[in-house]
Amino acid sequence: MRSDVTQVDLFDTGASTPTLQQLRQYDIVFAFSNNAWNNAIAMGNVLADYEDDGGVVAVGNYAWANDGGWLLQGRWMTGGYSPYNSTGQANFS
Amino acid sequence: MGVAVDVAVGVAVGVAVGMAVGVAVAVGVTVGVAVGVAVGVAVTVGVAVAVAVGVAVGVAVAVGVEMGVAVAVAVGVAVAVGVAVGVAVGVAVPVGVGADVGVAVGVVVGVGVTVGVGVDAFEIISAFQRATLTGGPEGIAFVPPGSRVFPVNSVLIVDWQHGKVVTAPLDSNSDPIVANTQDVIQGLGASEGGVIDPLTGDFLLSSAGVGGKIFRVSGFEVPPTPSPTPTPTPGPCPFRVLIAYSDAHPPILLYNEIGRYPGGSV
Repeated sequence: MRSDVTQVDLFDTGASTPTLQQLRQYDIVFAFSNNAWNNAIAMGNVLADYEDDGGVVAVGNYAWANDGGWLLQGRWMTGGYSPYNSTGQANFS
Repeated sequence: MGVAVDVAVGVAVGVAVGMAVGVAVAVGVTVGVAVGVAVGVAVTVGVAVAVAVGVAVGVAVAVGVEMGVAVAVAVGVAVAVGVAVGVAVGVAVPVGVGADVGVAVGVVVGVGVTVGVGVDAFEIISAFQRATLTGGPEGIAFVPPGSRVFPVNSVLIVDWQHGKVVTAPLDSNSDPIVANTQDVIQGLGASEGGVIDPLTGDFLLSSAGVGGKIFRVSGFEVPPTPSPTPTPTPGPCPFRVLIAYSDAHPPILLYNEIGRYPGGSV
């Protein structure tokens, strides 16, 4: 099903971590890592805060790959938000 | 609720120890080792029941002058719940020197692998019978409104057993009032089908009782054309999307793909 959007923006989480206030400007946040997060713990925490606030979070790989700093951490990974557990391997899908 | 048919295949290895009473002069003792194969078909309803058939091959050591080789056939029944445990009872027939014939009783322990093949179906929560139609109704069709003779709300029912078509008025729940049933066509023999042609209003049914023919009954009104349900026109949804990426390059393709939707800002 095609869904329309009124706004789409980019945020480089390899350079910095967005604040909750910044995330609140959006209905959906899609986060993924193909490089190291600037702060994986802070990123996971703010995503969990955003989801608690009613936001919709979609996370893509390699957020569960436990190498190279790509692994997302923080509350989003440990607090029951993530549908998967990281196995400590390079997970590709 | 589904119906599942399971197949259980297992291997049973057991030990049979029996007492042999010889028909010869001497009395021997038969000690055998049973190695069996259990093959069964199980219908699983919580617990699987399997039938194990095994062949036991053993060595008989007889007291006295007899010594022979015992060949036994063990047939047992095992109850399998993942692991099959059963009791095998067999008859040992020595071959060789001596003539001992004994009965061996062993224990068969098998491990079964259950492979299930299920057929999913709709789960019926409840059902209510609101009208009883006799004679084996095969087809039911609503009479087009405005058709002469028939009440405004009525049905045509093909009665397979009595070889006829009957009509019945409908009550406020659209159930046929069976007490007011009237015959419309008789002498059809075993008949099936029964449908109103939506274009002409003709009533069509088939009858195997008169040579497998299809009958067309004309005279009904053309059924009204159902008014189509309008499909709402999709409009833009006020989604605001942030792509938070950690990558050497920004995901421009993804960005463009999302923004290309109607109403997108890109």
